[in-house]
Amino acid sequence: MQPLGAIVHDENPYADQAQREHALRLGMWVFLGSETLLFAGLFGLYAGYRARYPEQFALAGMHNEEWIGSVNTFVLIVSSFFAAWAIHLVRGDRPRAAMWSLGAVILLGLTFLGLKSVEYSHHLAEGIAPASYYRYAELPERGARMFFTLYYFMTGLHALHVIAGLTVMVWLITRLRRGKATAEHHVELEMGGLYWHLVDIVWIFLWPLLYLST
Amino acid sequence: MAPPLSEHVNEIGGSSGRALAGALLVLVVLTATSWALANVQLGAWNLVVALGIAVVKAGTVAFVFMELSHASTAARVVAGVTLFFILLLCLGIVGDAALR
Repeated sequence: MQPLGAIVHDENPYADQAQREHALRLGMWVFLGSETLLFAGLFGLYAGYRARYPEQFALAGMHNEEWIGSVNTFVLIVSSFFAAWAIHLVRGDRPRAAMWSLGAVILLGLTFLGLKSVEYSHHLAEGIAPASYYRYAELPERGARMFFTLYYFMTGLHALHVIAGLTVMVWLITRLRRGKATAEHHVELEMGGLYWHLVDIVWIFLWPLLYLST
Repeated sequence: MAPPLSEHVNEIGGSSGRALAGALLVLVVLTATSWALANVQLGAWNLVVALGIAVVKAGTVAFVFMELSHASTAARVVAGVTLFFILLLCLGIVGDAALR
């Protein structure tokens, strides 16, 4: 009989590669579920405060730059397509084309962050900052301050996820370059893609709440 | 008797190139529709319509790009439980706003 210590310290607990990939996929879905619930809590906060300050939330939302939020929505959707397309290409044994597809994801992700930075800088120049740093004279009410505090927190947390996703994309490109992702085994690429799609889904809901529902 | 796990995993397919391109087209059209409708005065329905479109878009991303339709039963259960908790949260928020 195998001693318990040997079982606990077994570095490869999987019967085969397929079982390992199955476990990784399931673990990724659990992680994505927890991430979704994290953002769901923030959406809940938004809804609660919006119900309390409906007019001020609408007025504050009008001050966001609709074209930036909308262009960024298209940018993330197209980037999500390229992330999925990269996996499709690897499955078709085209790793070099997949690298270009992931490169497009990185370019679009950087575009998203660039546009977001432009909007942040416009807001900050007007005194629209989060919490007690809020100084915008045209909308001095508490509801507008709450809107922008949530705006910064939700979009800021989302932007951190974009940065994490871009880092993962760079890592995936290096794996492809080194030939570590093949048509048969590319589960890391699938998981990176899943993460990027979650980033897209979160923005799909942030956009109407922060830019369109005014 | 159930087949071994490795056979289950090998059964996992993926979205075809045609499905991916179709999903992209749907997402772009829905985004343009949402943006256009935001500038039509529908009152409180503006938010309802925008969120309704967002739900359809998120479903498209989940089922086609994230290949949820090809995922294992366990992964689909995780996604379903997450969705259930979100629905509970929504119910609580709507109840709070209605009874306040």
